[in-house]
Amino acid sequence: MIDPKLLRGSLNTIIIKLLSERNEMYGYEITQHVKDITAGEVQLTEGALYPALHRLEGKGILSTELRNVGNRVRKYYRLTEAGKTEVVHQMTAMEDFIKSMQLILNPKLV
Amino acid sequence: MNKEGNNMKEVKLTQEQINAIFDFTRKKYVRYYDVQLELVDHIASEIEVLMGEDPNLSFDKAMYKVYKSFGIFGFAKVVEQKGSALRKFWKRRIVTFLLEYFTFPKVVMTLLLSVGFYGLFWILPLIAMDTFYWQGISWGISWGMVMVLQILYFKLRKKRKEEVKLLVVESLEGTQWMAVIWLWMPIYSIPVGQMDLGYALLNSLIFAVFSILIYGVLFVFPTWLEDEVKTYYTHLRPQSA
Repeated sequence: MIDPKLLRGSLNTIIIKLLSERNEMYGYEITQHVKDITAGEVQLTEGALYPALHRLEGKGILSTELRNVGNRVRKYYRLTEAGKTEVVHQMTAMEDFIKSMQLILNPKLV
Repeated sequence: MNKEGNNMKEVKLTQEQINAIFDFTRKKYVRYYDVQLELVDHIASEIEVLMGEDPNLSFDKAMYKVYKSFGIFGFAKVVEQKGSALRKFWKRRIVTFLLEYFTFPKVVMTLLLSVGFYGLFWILPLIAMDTFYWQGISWGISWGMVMVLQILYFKLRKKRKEEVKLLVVESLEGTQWMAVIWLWMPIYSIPVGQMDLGYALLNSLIFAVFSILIYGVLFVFPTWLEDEVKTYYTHLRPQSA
C-alpha cells in the first residue's frame, strides 16, 4: 500500500481526474473507485479525502448536489466549468512532476 | 456477488441504524447538520460493505471500525477543514462584493457616500465646533453603526426559523463579523477633522466601504444563504423535521 504521506500532494489531482471521467461521484464512491483501480495500493483516508473535497468546493472547482438515496441523503460532487479547466492544468502539472521524479529516481531510463 | 466472485450479502441499514449513526456523529461533537449528512452517508456505506463481507460483524462494531479509519483526530479534522474552506469561500465572495462598488455603476454610490462622510467629518468641523469633538463624533457614529447593525442583524436572524445548525451559515457569519472588525479598526486610527487631504479622503472612503459592508451583512449576504439553507432543510432527516 502506498504511503498516504506520498499521496497528500496528489489528492486534488486524483479527485479532479476521476470527476472528469465519471461526471459525478460521492465521497465513499471515490475512495472505493481509487482502491479498485489501483488494486488496493492507493487507499484514500476519509480524514484526507473530505477536507480535500471541501477545499475544492470552496475554491469553486467542484459543485455539489444533495439527493435522497434510500433512507439517507447523499452528497454528489461534480466539476464546475472552472473545474473542467483545472483538470488540464492539474494533469500537466502532475505529468511534469512524474517526469522530474523519474529523472531523479531512474536517470538511466529517461 | 462481488467482483472477486465471493458471495457477499447485500446489507441495507435500517432507519434506526441511520439515526444511530447521526447520534454517534453528534456524540463525537459534529454539531453541524451539513457535515453530519455527508459523514453519515459515508459511514453507512462502509458499514454496509463491512457487514456484507462479515455477516457476524455487529452494527456497533462496524461503526466503531469505520470511525477508527478517520484517524486519531476522528471527525474533528473534517469539521475544522470544512470550516476553513468555507471561510475562505465566503471571504472571496465578500471581497468580490465590495470590489463591485469600485466598478461602474456602483462606484457612483461609493463616491457619493465618501463625499457625504467627507462633508460630515471635514467640512462641518471647519464651520462648527472643535476637531476634538468631531473625532468623538466620528467614533460615536462608527460605534452606532455597529450597534445598529448588531441589533438589526439579530432581529432579522430571529425571524429566520433555524431548525438545525449549519456550518455553511456559521462560517459566513464568522467571516462577515471579521470583515466588519477589519474595516472598523482603521476608523479609529485615522484622525478626523484635520486638513490633511490624504487622511480625509482615506477616512471618508473607509467609512463609505464600511457602510456598504453593513448593507451587505443586513440585506445581501443572507440571500446568499437562502438556497443553501433551503437545500439542507428539504433534506432534514425524519425526526428533525
